[in-house]
Amino acid sequence: MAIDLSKQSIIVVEDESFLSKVLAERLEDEGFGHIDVAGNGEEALAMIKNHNPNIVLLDMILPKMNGFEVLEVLQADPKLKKIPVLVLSNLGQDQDIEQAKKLGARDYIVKSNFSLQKVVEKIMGILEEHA
Amino acid sequence: MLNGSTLCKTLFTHIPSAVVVLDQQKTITDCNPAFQQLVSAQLAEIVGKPIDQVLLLLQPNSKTMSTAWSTIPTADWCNDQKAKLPNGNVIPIAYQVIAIEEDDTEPVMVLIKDARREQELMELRSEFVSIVSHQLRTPASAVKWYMETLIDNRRGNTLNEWQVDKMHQAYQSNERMISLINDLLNASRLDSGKFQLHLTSFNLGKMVEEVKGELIHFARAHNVDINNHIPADLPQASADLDKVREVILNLTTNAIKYSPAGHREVNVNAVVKGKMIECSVQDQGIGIPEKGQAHLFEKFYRADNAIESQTEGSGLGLYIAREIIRLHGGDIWFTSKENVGTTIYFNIPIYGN
Repeated sequence: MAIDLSKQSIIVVEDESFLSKVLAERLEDEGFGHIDVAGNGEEALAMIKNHNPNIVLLDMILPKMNGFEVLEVLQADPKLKKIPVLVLSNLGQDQDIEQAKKLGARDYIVKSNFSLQKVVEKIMGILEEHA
Repeated sequence: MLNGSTLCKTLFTHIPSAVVVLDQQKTITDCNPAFQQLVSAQLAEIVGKPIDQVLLLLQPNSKTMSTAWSTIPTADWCNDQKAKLPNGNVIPIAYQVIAIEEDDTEPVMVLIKDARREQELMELRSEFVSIVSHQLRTPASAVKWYMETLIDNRRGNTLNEWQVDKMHQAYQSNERMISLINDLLNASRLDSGKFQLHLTSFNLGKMVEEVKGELIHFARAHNVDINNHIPADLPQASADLDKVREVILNLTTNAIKYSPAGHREVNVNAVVKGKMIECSVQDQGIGIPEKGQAHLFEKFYRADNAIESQTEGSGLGLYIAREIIRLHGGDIWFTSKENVGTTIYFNIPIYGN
């Protein structure tokens, strides 16, 4: 099923601004209707609650509240747990991936191992599944 | 010339390894100060007791199941063992049982190395590599994504051919750095025993097809055809899918990159042998010189002709492949002839066995 990206909203949670910038730019080029960037876990949670996005890209090592804690809060809320989360982290140990998936993450990407093109493909895959 | 008995006594007292002497009934007849320190007990409290009451030998990777000490001499040190101290603490040890040729009672001497410090250092090193790798991955991701953005030229600022070429070179160098970071992380995890397998059943032929797809551009650039000969009716493998995929990707990448100029083939096949699936990756590459063959799976080893051919590599890939296969209870080996080619074989268990 083709997704109308102009109607999709996405939240990028990333504390490294040089990474969030290039990622947001690419998502804009792909045609996403609404892109928001959060620089820490607390900001991310507030944004997710307010915007009810179609998908969240979540880094794991974040100031104030880390990605695992964000996932825990989302998982505990019957409404928020329905929002698909794609983890984009450079923590790539088996136990990190396992824990994130246990906490409801749809998929887990080690940033340095994925091109922007592959990241976009993963996002599209999850959105299509969720549509 | 020193008196042999004095020399032995001095050595027995001062040697840092714990030494305990047992009779054939596994009763302690003597021990040195290092052993007394290890089990936190005085000589008089220990002598006459069965060793299993003083220091319990545990099965590797288990905290509960015990195996009794044996008085059969060991050919070498038994590494990666665990023992339970009288205070309940389980510690990593290595030991060796040596026969004492003395009288009819056939006593044995057990040398025990406390490996706690070694394990701590290994864990510290693994943690250090993990932190450093994570820190290195972040700027490497940024370089990767920014380069990709420039090469893709999504916003219409056209680069000329020369610039695109240089950009590709920089992108490839960054990819090499990322792969080195991944290799270091994997090798360090394997060394510290933190590498976990997640066993599933999967179709090896399908996996090879996916790897083939992933390497299609790389193979074309080297004028190499990858042929997947794995029969459709091959039984499912029981292994860690991602890790085995990593092994096949590594072996196939090696087969391609060490193929000399001209049109070449890489053939991947698999057959059932007993309870195992034996997979082979055969190339028509530069081969491995005889003098380097014994070292091929050693960490950081690279054959002379691999270095001469200026083919990039860290020397960690085959070490990681071997350790992954061994963790599955399989083995990895090869046949090779210089300037003719190499076939690397490995085996993994069949699902259901």
